[in-house]
Amino acid sequence: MPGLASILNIARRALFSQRTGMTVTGHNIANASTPGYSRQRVNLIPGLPERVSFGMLGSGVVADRVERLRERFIDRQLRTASSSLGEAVSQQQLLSQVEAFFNEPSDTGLNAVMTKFFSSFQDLATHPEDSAMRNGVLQQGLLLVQSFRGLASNIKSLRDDLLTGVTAKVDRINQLAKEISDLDVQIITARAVGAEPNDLLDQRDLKLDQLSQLAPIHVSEDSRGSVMVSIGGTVIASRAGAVPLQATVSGTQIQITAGQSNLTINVTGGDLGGLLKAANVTLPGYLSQLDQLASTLITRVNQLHSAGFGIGAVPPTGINFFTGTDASTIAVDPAITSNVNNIAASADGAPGNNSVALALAGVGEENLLNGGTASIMQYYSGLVSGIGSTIVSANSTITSQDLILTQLENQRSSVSGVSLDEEMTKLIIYQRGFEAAARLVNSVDDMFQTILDMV
Amino acid sequence: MRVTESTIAANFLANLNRSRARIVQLQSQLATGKRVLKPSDDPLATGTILRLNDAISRNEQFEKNVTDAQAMIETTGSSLDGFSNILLEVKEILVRVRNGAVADGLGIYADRIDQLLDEAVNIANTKFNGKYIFGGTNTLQQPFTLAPDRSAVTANPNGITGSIEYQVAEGLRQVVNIDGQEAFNGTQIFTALIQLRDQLQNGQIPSPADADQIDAMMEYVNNKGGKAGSIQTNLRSLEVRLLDQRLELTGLLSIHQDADFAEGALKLKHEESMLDAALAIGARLIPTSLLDFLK
Repeated sequence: MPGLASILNIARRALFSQRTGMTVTGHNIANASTPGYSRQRVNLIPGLPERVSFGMLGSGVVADRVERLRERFIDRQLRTASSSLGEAVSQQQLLSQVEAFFNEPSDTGLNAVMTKFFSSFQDLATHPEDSAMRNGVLQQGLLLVQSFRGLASNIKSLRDDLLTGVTAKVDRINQLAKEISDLDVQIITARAVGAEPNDLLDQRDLKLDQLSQLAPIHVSEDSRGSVMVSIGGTVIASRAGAVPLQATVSGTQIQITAGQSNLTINVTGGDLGGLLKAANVTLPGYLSQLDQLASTLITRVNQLHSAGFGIGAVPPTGINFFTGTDASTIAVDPAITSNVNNIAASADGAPGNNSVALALAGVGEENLLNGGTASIMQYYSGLVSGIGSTIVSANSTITSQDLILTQLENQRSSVSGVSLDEEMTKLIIYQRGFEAAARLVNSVDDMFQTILDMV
Repeated sequence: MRVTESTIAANFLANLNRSRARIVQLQSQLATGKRVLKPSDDPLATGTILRLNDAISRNEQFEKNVTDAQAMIETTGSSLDGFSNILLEVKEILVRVRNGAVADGLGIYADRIDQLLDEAVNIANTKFNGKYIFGGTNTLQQPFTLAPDRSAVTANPNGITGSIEYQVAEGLRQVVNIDGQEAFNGTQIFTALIQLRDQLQNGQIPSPADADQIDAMMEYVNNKGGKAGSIQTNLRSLEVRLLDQRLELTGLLSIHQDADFAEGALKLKHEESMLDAALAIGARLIPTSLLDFLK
């Protein structure tokens, strides 16, 4: 038969357990809006029962341990979605800039400028003797050159700026990797002394989430709860430390290498992957299409122009209209800028002959590209709609990944999120429990008094 | 499913953002009147819009070319009419002379023909817009020159031939001149006039064959005038066709590019009420908590 002291003991443990419960509830309420925080719960279990003559008698409550509510599976899905979203967002942002460079459809984009350039040769064809028309051709030619060069230099400088962007992302990855590996060591140390480091685990998960937005990471966890983070098969963070990444430029390509070994890592997702794809594939692709367009235009116009004759006592011939070989080097030939009478409209030197001007006016419609299936104008509109389509597909990836991410975050929140209503309810339960336990102490005290009074 | 405050807040914000993004898009469409403002708004339509813009500009250029061509060929036609009138007067003189004019009076007619020769050469050297229209492609050099002693008319040694074409429609070129060689059969007509003048000066009555020759020449020049006329007719129908085409192309462009105001305004109204609803629901749900009901 237990004594009064053992009831007092039950009350003491109850007071202690309810207080622990309130502490954890308070911690939850305090962290309700802390990013990455998972709600915690005290596991209360009944104390070991005491055997008595008529059976077992309970010995009160024990606070077993504080556990963190977290679903590993959702974390993994969420990180994958986060990588895809990161890639699409950085692609979309960059391409929107490229789209703005092209400024289409408008009256000032390259499409309109090329149309006006070819039209100016139509005007020249109607009045090949007139120097006003020749000046018109020169002005349109200079505008065309300006448009090509402007586009090419804008795309090139955007590509150069990307190296800065990539370096910033790599620095951030390195910092996160370092923090993750430090946290990992602390977690292992805490576990070794039997404590469950819930808040450190939350911190590590948060860093992993942030890292997954930057690059597609693979996280593996061993039986002790230590993680190993890798990108493209190369380990970048573990309890042994972090392996720093570097961005290096080789030729026109930006590469990511890891550690001292300079092992190249293939990053195919996340913010970083998106930037790399833009710098190494997308932008050079647009640039080479633009170069192709410019070089086709230069070659064909020069071929027709140099065979024609300008105006003069001895009509000049064999003069090119353009110099340069691509969108960055295209220029109007100095012979043309210095004297517009060197512009060739005539096929035989007669000032009224306009065959060459007519042929030049038609260059935009000739099927010169894509193996003779696309005209200069068609090729250009294909290039512009291609940019649009890429943005549209990036946008739809963003929309869908965003929805997936919201869904996953809701799921995660349903497991790990703090509900204030729930915490308030628990708070009241613990409070009442505490009050009742205190009342128990009172009762036992009264009983002691009663016994003492009996003496 | 367990729903927490942060879920409600995050969902509310996400929906609000999406709603606002759609409103911004509709707003800029309505403000500019255009549905496609950048390629990513509709990549396929952008390609079409670029091609249509090009086609419309080209069409406008063709309209301009046709106007220029009309002016050129009209001048050619009226010049040939004038030339034909000269030949008509020469013919009348021949009729009068052969119907018993006195040999002494022949000198007056010779003088008149000499004047007409000047006029004919002037017409053959007509300049339009700074160009000799009968010079073939040698438009800057005078095609016909009357010798100082008035004994002969010579053609520009660099040539008076060469047709000038303008592009007047997609893939269609139109010859817009009749060169001097073709218009006046070289210098033949002038030579014939000079011969007649000399005959009359020498007191010779021209033969019936001479009259027939003038007739044939007049018919030749009239034929060329007819050719100019048919080119004009051609150009007029092209002008109408180009105008039709421009209207059609502009209509097509509008279909691809322009925003439908009624539809846009309706959509905007709809989005606005969605936004209002989202805000109202958020305002009701978010502040509600158990705390409100605890003492």
